[in-house]
Amino acid sequence: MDPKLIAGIVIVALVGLFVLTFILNKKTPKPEGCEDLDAKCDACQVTTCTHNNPNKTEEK
Amino acid sequence: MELIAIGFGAILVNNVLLSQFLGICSFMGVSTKKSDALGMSFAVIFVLMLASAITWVLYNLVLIPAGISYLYLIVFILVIATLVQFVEMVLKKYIQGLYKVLGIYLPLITTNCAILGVATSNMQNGYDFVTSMVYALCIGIGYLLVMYLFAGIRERLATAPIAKPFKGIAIALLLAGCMAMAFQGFAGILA
Repeated sequence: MDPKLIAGIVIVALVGLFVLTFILNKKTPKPEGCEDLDAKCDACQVTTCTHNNPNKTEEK
Repeated sequence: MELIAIGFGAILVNNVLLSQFLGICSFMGVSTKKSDALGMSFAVIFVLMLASAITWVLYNLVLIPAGISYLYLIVFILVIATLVQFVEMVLKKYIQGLYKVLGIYLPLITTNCAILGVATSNMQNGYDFVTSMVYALCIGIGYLLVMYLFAGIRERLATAPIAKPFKGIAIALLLAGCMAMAFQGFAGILA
């Protein structure tokens, strides 16, 4: 089989698998008591990152 | 003896955070409390082991035989992203106790380059499966050790009288530099 075809199949399969697990993960409800759990990151100033903590405060 | 040397090197001498400078984002971001550092570290160890096993199998049994090993980077990224989604989903559905402990850190691991770095190191060093797993475990232990020590020191720094320009990330970076120099003291101990 042509290596380029295998490469295409591998990439499409992995992307498809990622999209599938992403959708299934979003649809899976969080357990009771975990609805508001969220780890926010204070490491950098990139506010567009989904992990960025908007309520960041300097250490006192 | 070789496995011990690889493990010892991965924990102390070639520490993923202080020597290889991988996973610095979580090193700075999730190290303000010891409990957060521990949770994040266990989640990293868990994903690191799984990702190393799957990427080793994919690289050696699919990519090399098919002659498409040049695709390793994109394949590894996709595998890690998928794995994190899958693990989070399984934890939410079936192991809810573990999800309460590790779950909130799993999305942060998707962007943790330490996982990709270890998978790439396994490939570049030509490790067999067992060595890859030992290397991944020891990298995870090294991550845990440094995160816990760093978080412990940062908790104390939060109440210490520090000059204003050094507060926050500035003193954390200075501290990381000091720790990196200290850890370099382990170099050559097994030579």
